[in-house]
Amino acid sequence: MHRRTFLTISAGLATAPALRWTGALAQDATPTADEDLLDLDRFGPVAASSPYTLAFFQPYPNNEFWQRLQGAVEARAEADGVTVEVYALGSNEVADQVAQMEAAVAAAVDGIILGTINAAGVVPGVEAANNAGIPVIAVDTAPAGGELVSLAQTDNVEASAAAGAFIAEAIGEAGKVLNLQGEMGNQTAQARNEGLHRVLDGFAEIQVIDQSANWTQELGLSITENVLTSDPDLVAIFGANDPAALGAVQAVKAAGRDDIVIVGFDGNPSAFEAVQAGDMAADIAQFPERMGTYGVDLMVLHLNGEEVEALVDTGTAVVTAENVEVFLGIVS
Amino acid sequence: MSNAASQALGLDLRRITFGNVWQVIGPLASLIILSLLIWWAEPVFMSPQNLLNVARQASLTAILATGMTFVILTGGIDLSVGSMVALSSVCGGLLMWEFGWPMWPAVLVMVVVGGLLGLINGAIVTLGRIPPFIVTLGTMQIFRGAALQLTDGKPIFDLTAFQPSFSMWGTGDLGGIPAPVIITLVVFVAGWLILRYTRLGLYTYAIGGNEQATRFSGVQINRYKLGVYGLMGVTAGVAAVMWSSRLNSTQPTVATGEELNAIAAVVIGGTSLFGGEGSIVGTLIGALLMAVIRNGLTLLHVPSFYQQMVIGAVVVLAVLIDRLRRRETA
Repeated sequence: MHRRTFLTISAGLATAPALRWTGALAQDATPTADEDLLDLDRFGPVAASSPYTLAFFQPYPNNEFWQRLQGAVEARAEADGVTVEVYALGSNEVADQVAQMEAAVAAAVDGIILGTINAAGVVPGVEAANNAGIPVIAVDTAPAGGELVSLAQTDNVEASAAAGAFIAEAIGEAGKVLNLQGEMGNQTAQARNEGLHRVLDGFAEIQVIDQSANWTQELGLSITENVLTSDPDLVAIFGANDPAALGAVQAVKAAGRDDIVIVGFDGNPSAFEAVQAGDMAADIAQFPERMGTYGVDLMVLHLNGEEVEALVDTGTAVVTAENVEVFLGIVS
Repeated sequence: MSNAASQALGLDLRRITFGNVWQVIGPLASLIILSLLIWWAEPVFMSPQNLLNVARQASLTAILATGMTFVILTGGIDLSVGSMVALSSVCGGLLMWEFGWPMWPAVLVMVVVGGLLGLINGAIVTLGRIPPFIVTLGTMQIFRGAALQLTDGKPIFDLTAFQPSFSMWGTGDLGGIPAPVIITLVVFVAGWLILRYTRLGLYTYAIGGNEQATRFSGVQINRYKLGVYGLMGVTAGVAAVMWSSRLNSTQPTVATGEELNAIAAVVIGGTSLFGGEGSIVGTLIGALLMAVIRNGLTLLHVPSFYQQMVIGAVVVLAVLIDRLRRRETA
């Protein structure tokens, strides 16, 4: 697909060493200025002791985040000397994913790297692998049951707590903050809500207005329009995902306001562009590249007979105007 | 349409044209009472700025519900409207973004694509003789999948960076009235005129009232059904233009679940899901009622899950009132 503005940022990675991190790379031991941003070699590359065949379960083949994750899986599999078979889910049905897992078990793959579509529904698939003695490593989301060798994911609570801390500082620890929550009842949405509240509720002068934008730009836009009417003294907006935050950007712009701190969550190119343009103060970026790469390395280590960590936090970064160029370089 | 012809169809023209006033009394009263309550609780509700917000936020549902009124009046349903909006939007958006098309042809494409998708639904329903629920349940997935496929699942943001004039449909205004509101009114008036003064409008009621009788009266009902689904598609195309401009983006996942809002607006407006009875004025009121509830409860900082519950309750209540009213008049 045709690339537009991202081309101009191709120099972004080259400038990485010169940057100082204002935002924390969560859980990373004191990131130094010249540290490789993506930190992909934390566990590998690992030379496989035999040419294993891995199965990667791709839940959202059309989603940018998951496309990046899959790219990392394939790249690292090649580096480690293993084969990876991609089981891409065409429907949004967890039953189909379970059927795919049963097929992988029947094909006797050596290991499964699971991107699950539904934490609860996928459990029978995980158990089928367990019963056949095939190790499973989950990326991004943990299944609700079954046994995992390891799990590589973003700590959503910590990440949105970082967003909360950024907002609190930017608004001088006082004022009204609109929290555009994700889909109600969704596990990730709850974690992001929890993290934001954990920090903002600690400030007596901050009032949080909770409204669910259901992960959509439409509701991000219309809810912000409404709240700007009822609460013109609003000082900040947190979008639990990027589309919601971008909807808020439009409402704020249309209202002719430029004094509202907007923070998004996801790390989509469009959000980075909004940060670059000054429309958003910050975006919380996840690292799907790490999830995919670590997933493969951990699996190969396990198959080689070594002990691996049960839980790996793949970290997040607070992307602001100061470091946005580097991140635009990663996603382009 | 002569009186004799309508009698031949077993149709009571008076009930269609004059029955409307009574049909919309319930939703209209609900709208007024609810607005007064919210105004009392939050005075800013009645500010011109906020009323424009409400009108703007009702526009997507109102436009789609106008087309949906026709479909439901024939006794049909269209579950694919949200997906039609997405696919139309994506087609026009890609033309501007990837192929550098100017604004007007791209906008035309969105509307035409919407119309074609509607005709596909109509063709399968009539020629295949498959219930519309099943047909549109399938095309809902097909159209959404196609929209995802065309864009590789990625949203295209900032369309106005390519065609600045595209912003007029969603964020422009005419004498202070927002463009989405004007577009909604144009669609609504057009729908009202078609329903009231054209053969298509009359047969829409007739087919829903008694399809067999209408067929035996010599009406080529397939032709008119096709027209109704095509019309639904055109409104989806118009909605796609307005909404992608308002969001300044085209997203394959846009308007997911919007079919349910459109159906809810039609039902709240007093149109019978069994077809043959209802009005487009009621539909507009239904769409406004839903927007007022969402807006009002947000102004009052009511958590989102209560908003869902309230809207759901209003839908059930509307049908209940309709049932009681009918029992009394019968």
